[in-house]
Amino acid sequence: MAIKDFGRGFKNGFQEFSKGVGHTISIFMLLLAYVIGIGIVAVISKTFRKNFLQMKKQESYWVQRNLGKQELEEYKRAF
Amino acid sequence: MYVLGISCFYHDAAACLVKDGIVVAAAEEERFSRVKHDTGFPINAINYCLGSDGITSQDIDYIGFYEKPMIKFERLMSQHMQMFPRSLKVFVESTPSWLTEKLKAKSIIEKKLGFKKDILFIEHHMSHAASSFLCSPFKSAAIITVDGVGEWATTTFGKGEGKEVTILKEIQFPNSIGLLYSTFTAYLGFKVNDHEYKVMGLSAFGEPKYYDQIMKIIDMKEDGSYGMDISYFDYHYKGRMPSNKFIKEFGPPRKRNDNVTKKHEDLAASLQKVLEDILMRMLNQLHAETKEKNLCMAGGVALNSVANGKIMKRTPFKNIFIQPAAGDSGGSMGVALYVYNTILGNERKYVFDSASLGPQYNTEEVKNFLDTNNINYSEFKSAGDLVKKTIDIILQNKVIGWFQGRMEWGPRALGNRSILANPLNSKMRDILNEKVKHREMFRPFAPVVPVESANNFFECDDPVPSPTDYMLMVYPVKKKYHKIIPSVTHVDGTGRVQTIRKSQNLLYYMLLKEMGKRTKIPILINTSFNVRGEPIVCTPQDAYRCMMGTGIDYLVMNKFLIKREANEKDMWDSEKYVND
Repeated sequence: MAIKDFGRGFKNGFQEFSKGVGHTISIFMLLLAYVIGIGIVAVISKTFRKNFLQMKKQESYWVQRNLGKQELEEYKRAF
Repeated sequence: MYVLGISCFYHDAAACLVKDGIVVAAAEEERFSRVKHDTGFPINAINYCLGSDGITSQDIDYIGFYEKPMIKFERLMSQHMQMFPRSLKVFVESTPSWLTEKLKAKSIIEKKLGFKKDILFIEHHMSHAASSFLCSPFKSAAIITVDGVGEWATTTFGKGEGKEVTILKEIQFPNSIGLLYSTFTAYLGFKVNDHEYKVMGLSAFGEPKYYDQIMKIIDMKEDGSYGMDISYFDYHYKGRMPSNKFIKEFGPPRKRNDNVTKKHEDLAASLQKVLEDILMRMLNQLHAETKEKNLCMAGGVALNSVANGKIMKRTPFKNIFIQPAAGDSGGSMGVALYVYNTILGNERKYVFDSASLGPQYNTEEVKNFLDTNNINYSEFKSAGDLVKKTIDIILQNKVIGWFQGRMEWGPRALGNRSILANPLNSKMRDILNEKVKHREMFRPFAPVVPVESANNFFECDDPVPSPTDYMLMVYPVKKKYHKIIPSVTHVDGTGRVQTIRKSQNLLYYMLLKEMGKRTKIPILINTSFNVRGEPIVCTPQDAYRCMMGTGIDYLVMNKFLIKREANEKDMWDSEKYVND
């Protein structure tokens, strides 16, 4: 009985431990993606004064679209 | 031909089924999952929609998704690049859900539904525009959509003609009056994407003393566009919305359980006035550009009934249409109709004239539920008997849970899943709050009135526009009735009126007529059948549980009358529900 309890406890503990490790790895990977993926592009863009968001005063804030019906294939894409 | 529309993964997940161009079923996921504003994949709503017409996913010809996730993701990445390194926390917190869910919408739909045919994606604001125009009674119309943000767009001008919808131009993130309203919602201690309507209710108590201060943040242009001084906001890179500069300007934010002060009321009033002024300027510009007399609106801001009630007076538009699920859930209806009418080129056949699109339970099912659970009840002999006895009970100032027919589409209970009470009693607001709703005292209760009587009691537009049927317009209560229907007259003398037409809901209409016959006032209080923090009830079980856990005195369900006191007190405690 005691061995069984120990086994169950060990299993649960190990599962929690692996979850924790998984979580830590995810955060590490995300940090890496942020610093390398986002960071490098951001630094280069800032050097060339590229703005990704419309944050400055404008004459007009309208962006022309004229978006109507497109080819069926266009709608099959999630972008 | 069947087209299924799906909206999910942000807020208010929903599904809508279109059969040969007609909307046959639509529902929000929250009603089934019982999680308010459920964002998850709407499997229960989809199963309901398919089941309502006796089909399976294999019978669907096309599935439409209400936005283009990759473009939205591109916008988020742009935010991170713009705000690097300050957006790190939000990046780490939000990216996993994009990688595991939002970017996988197509494969999730295919996997969960075993669907192998075409899944079509249309832009978020196109879904909004289609959700209003394609089911409107108009052959052509100007279209405006305003919400927090879709992919990039936050506000669009468009035009609908026949089966075509065109987005002419848009204002893009981070400039957003939807997000401005949400920022103040957060600042005033309420929940974003949920409690904006509380700010609207609160606005009636205040004076717009902070109007100029708020307008300092807005750059309003003659062409109807607007920009915002983004230094007052943090929503583009943080988990919170107002920035330190905003707090410096307006003072410390209200905490959730703090008292609401005069300053909060004045801020809400100022914000509401700012919203209305921006909206009216845009609408006047839209009219000037399109020369249309008909207007269709959608997006979360189209749920601002106080602003909506002023549109006909402050703009040249002659007709207005808004369907009740104007927010993101309505995107599922928009994309389904857009696929059928616009992409596939089929003629429009459907005009939205009733919100009764959800599940219903027949007499046998309700009786079976009552008998199985040993619930004491009595049965009405006829519809006339039901109507008379229900009004008897209401006139004794009792609170009635009203459960009839198909559940409503959209955030409002419109007479199928409603709580009804006597508006003539000046204490009814307190009674309802004490017994059931537990809501803030500044929030008004809504009146329901037959459409032909509406102008007798309220200063409605004439003719009464159809959005009033869905509680989307606030109008002044005629002065002489302020003291006669005090429970539904808000502090500023207005009421969020629901009008009802005989063709929409006969039993509900008969109830109002009986009320009119007995009291000369054919009006009832109609509030949603739920307690604060819970979604509106869906099933007989939800309804019974809600009654037994609260102070609702009677439940009129189908042709059965259930008295709370005649049944053993359930173990449900109403306070357990109150979690917002």
